Amino acid sequence: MARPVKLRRLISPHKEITFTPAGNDTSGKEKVTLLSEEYEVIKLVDYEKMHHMQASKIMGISRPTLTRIYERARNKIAESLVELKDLCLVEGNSILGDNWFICQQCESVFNNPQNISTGNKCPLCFSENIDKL
Amino acid sequence: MKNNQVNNLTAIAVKEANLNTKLEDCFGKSGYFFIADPGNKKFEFVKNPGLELKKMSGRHAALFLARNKITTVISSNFGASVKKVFDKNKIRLVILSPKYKLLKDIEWVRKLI
Repeated sequence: MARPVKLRRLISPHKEITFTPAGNDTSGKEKVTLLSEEYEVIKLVDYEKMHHMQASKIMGISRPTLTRIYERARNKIAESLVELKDLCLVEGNSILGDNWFICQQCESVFNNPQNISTGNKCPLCFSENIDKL
Repeated sequence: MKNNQVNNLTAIAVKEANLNTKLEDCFGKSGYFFIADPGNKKFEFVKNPGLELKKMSGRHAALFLARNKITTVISSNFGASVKKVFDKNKIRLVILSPKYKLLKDIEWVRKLI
């Protein structure tokens, strides 16, 4: 039996976004789904210009695993660009490193590093309708 | 920025130094920070000291906020180096939902100004 996939650690929660090629009718076309850990690798390596080793330590995975995820992510982005397909960012095999919460009223996300009592309220709208991510 | 304003200081990444400004999506690339002390009803705009740097601008800005005893930072996007500084200094991060576009969209800011 194959070993279960080790969850990749994310720095912060991601928004679920779909990128659509402007001016093209993408309805009926297959979508490309970019997993949250693939987005995270692209962000760390290509946007923040980290070495693979640095990025792999942050995500709690080995360097070869990170490189494989990176290659898969780039292939997906290329497919979306060349074939004019929607690129959807979806949840993958990942966990959040900290205590993160979401406000159900304003949909903002926040953490509580000091475990302060006001952490039970949204820091923006002060709603108590919050859930742990 | 005066260092004696130490209680519950919140920094919000914004584009310009006026009250009608838009919120900045990327923490390190924000033009200014709206620094507010809601308890004492004080606020000011502070220029992002890391903006003109070619590298590590976000980390530079994060260290600046940490030195000035900021307890909460509000923005839409943070990098790994920024997060590391905030974690070390136990600064709370708030990631805005896309429905917040302007500084005035935040209710407590409207009340403050």
